[in-house]
Amino acid sequence: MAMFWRRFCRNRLAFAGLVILVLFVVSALLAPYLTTHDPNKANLRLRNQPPSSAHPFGTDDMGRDILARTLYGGRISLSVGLVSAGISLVIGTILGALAGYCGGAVDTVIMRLADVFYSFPFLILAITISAIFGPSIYNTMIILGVLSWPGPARLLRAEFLKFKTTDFVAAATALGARPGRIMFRHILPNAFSPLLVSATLEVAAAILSEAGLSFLGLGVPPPAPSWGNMLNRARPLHILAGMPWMWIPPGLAVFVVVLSINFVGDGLRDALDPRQEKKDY
Amino acid sequence: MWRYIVRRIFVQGIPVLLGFTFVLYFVITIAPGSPVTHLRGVPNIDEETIARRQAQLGLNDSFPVQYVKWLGRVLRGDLGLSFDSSRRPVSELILERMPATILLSASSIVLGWVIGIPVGILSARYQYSALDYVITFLAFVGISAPSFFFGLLLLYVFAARLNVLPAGGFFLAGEPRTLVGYVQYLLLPSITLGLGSIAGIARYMRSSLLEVMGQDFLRTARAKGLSENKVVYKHALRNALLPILTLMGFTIPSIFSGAVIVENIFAWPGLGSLAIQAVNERNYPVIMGINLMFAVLIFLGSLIADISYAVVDPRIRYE
Repeated sequence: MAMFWRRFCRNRLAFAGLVILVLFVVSALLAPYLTTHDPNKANLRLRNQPPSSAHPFGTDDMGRDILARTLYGGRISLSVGLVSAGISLVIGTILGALAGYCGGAVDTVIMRLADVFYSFPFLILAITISAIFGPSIYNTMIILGVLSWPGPARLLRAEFLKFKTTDFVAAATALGARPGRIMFRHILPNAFSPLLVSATLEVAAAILSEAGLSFLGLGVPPPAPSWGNMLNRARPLHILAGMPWMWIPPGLAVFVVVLSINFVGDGLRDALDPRQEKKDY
Repeated sequence: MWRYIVRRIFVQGIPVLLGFTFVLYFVITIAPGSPVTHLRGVPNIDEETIARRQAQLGLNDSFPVQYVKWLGRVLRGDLGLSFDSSRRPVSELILERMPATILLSASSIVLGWVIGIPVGILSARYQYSALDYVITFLAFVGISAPSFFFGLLLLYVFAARLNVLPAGGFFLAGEPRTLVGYVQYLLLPSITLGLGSIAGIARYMRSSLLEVMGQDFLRTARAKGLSENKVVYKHALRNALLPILTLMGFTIPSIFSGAVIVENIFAWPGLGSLAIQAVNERNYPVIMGINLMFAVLIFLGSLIADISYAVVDPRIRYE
């Protein structure tokens, strides 16, 4: 663990990414203490105000404080990202484990299904489903989670294929362990490192997808703030051109968070996989 | 070669495509409300008429029967009529919008290759130099930048502030279609859509070239006294480019996903804008049609990628 941490910190970008990420999470958690404004309180007399000391990031077209909406929006965007990545990891882990461990017809069916989801533009299916069930925070979490399981599933399948033939699995089988126990108690912990790296990248992808869906008006519905739907409101040309304070903070937030997670993921990969140390790519 | 192509189409491609139509049809049928729901609002309608209409539309059939009948119609090119007042055939609407989407996607794929490959080569050639670090950092930025934010920034700078490029759209009615015009309209949307692939291809090119550089046949090439440039560009590059071709097949779905967002930022008259319009109107026949169209485009795109890979690398065919 100590060695892992030292190796991780040697990658300066990964360390910087982790620090920034922690700052974002803390500021989302402490949102009520960092701003006195209510993110949903409209004030029509204070519409479209440029940044000032009372409203450091200005106000939007309904007079709501942009800083407060960006902070509270972080709560929604980050939790949608975490929950949907969690859903996809659980589904992906179970299906990938079954495919890799059972092989045969089970493997074929699951992997063909993964191909179907993988070879299709994710966002188009996502907007279709969102249109059918109606956009909401929970639907967004479920849609993103259910549609992105093939990535982790493929990864887990490969790990399970690798470990299925090892001696410790044979030993566990000989001792009479049931398949479920072998899969999740014996093999799964060995696949922890790649799973962790994949989890960070899933979270980054889910945050991006949520923002994209909300930007199209099919993710988190207003008035609840999310970084994506704040950008959606800024699309009319007079806001885009004349009031950049409305869309730069949420856009920058998505960008910086995703960039930080990607750096962290890269650092984790290097730190967790000592075999890669000599290879330089 | 032919055996490879046939296997690729019938064993791999068609089942995935069929699987997709099944998932799609299933999703649409679990949508709340049925095609006869609106009849209940009509005054003086009796249950019998509704039941007759329901039978006429085949809604009493079991799910598999409905699916097969629908698939049969789709295969004959009948995608139904649009729900909106125009009642136009969906296939017509889609064919009208398709060229714009293909133009946009193709130009951003080309950008990805034309910029990404040389940048990746530079990065690998001068590994661990300042240039390499800058490129690696920028590649991370390119992969992480959300297209909607990047697109808005480009619009803000080049259309709103500098006023040098149009703020989205595509040739106005009656505007002459000059080459300069194409470039002006295409530039911002295709850079926005292509940014991710430029960065992805550059990173992949770098690692692919570095991996090849470590191999024995390059030590031989160096040992016989070839200049470093010759070693890199004549010997290493050819082998390093091969894996990049497979990347093309993978990037096509994400390019089309991105196109939906980019078309909406830049008011680009393609399938992506049509999709959002249809989704907002709950225009199910059009939504289904667009989904199918994208599935077919992706199938064809990845088929072309795989075949070209098999052409340049004979080892693949005999797997």
